[in-house]
Amino acid sequence: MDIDTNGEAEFRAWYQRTSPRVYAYVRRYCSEDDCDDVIAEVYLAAWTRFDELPAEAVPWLIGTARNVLANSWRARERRRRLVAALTGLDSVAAPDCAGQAVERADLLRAIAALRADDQEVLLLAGWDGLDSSGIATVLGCSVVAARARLSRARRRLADGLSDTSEAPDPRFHLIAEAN
Amino acid sequence: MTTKISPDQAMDALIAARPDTDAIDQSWYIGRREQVLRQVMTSPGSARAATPLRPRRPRWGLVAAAIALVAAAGLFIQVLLPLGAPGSPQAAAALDRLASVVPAKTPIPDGTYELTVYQEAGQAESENGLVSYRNERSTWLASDGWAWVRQTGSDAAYHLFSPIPRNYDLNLVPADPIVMEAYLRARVMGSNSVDEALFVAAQDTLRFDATPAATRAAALRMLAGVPGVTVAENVTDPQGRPATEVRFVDEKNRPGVVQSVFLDPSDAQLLAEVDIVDGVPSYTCVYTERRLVGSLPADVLSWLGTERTPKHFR
Repeated sequence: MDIDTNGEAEFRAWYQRTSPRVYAYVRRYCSEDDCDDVIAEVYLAAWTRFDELPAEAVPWLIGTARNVLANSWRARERRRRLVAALTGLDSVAAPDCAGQAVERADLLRAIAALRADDQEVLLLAGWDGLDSSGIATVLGCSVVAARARLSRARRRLADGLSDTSEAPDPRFHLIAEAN
Repeated sequence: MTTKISPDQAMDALIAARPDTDAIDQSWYIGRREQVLRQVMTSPGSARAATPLRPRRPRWGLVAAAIALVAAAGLFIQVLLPLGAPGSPQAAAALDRLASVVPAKTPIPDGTYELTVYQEAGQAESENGLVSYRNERSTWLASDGWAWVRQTGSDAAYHLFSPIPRNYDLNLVPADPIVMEAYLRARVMGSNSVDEALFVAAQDTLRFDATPAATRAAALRMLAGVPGVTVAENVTDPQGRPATEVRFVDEKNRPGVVQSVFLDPSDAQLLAEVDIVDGVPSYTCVYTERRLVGSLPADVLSWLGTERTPKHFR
C-alpha cells in the first residue's frame, strides 16, 4: 500500500518541529554516532502510528526514545548507559548558569551524585520542559506519582547543592517503569 | 559554612543549564535531519496502517533480480559493495564453514526459558576518567520473546525487557548476505566507519539468541565482503575453548582498535567477544552457559514477577 502523500507532508513538517527536542533528549544518553539511528527508530515508530498519536506528542516521542535506548543497551549488552549519561551532561549543558545561586560545576556534580531515577525526572522537567503529565507519559506512571517523584528529586538536588545530601541508599531502587 | 539552596533555586539553576537551542540546532542541522528522515521513510518497516512490518516484496525482488542480471557484468556489485579489496577467499571460506554449521533454531517450548549466562569485564569512560567494571549477566528468554535479566557485579540490576525490534533488526531483511549488506550500508548513519557498523550489526545478530538460523548464517557470510574482517580458525577463546575468531580492524577510522568475536566451530554459537584498544583489552565478554530451564529463580521472580510489563531495577 502506497504512503498517502498528504500524510507524508504533514509528517515531515511535524518531524522538523519535534525532532530537535528528541535529539536533545537522546544526546544525553548516547554518543553522537548513535543518535541518528535511535532517532530514526523513534520516528519510524511514530510514522507507523501517525494517525493515533496524541496532539501533544513530545512526551510520547521521548518515551519511545527511552524504550529504544533501553533495547539498544540490551542488544549491545554493554555498560555504556550511565557513564555515557554522566559525560553527556557536561558536554551538552549550557556553558554557564549566569545569575543563579549555584555554580555550573556544583550543579553538574550534584546531579551526578543523584540516583538515576532522580536525574531522569529532573532533566525531563528542567531540560525537556515536560509537566507532570508529560513526565508520567514518558515514565509510564501516574501523574500523581510523577509529581511526587519530581518533588522528591528537587529536594534531593537542593540538599546536594547545600552540602547536606545523604549517603546514597545502597539497596535496589526502581529506576524506571517503561510503558 | 553551608549555604542552603531551596528546591526552587536548584530547579532554576538546572533550567538555566539547559542546552542552548542554537547549540542543538547546530548539532542537529538541517542536512542531518533530512538524512535521518530519509532513513525513516525508506525503511522496510515504514509501511503504515495495517501493513505488517516486513519488506515490500517487489522492492527486494527487484534488488535480487538486478543482482542476478548484472552480476556477470560485475557492475551492480560495485554499486552495492564498497570499492576496494573485498574480504580474502580464506576468510570467505572460513565464514562459509561457520554459516553452514548454524543449527536450525529450535523454538523455546512454552513454559520454559532459554538461559544464557555471560561474564563481562571492561573499562568505560566517565567524567572521572576510565572506570573498570565487571558483571555477570543471566538472561531467561521466553518463547514469546520477553526476557528476564539478572545482572550482578559493578552494575547490579534486574530487567524485564519486551520483545520489540532492535536497531538494525536484520530479521526484517531477507536472509541473503548481499541484500543484507546493501540494507545495512544504506541505513548506517552518523558513523565514520561504515565497515565497523556492518561488523557490529552482524555481532548484534549473533549475540541475540532469538535470531533465526538463516539470518545468522547470512550475517556470517555477509562479513566476507566487509574490508577489515579477517578469520582465524583453530584458535582458542579466552577460556581455552576451541574457536574460530572473526576479527575486525579499521586502522583509518578506528586506529589501534581490534574487535573480535569467537565462535564455536561446531555450531557457530558465540563464545566470547573481545575489544582491544592500543594493545590493551578494553572489553571482554565470555559466554559460559546456554541451556533450557523450566523456571525462573526465586530472586528474579521476586523482583520482576511474571507479568509482561517492562521493569528495570538497580
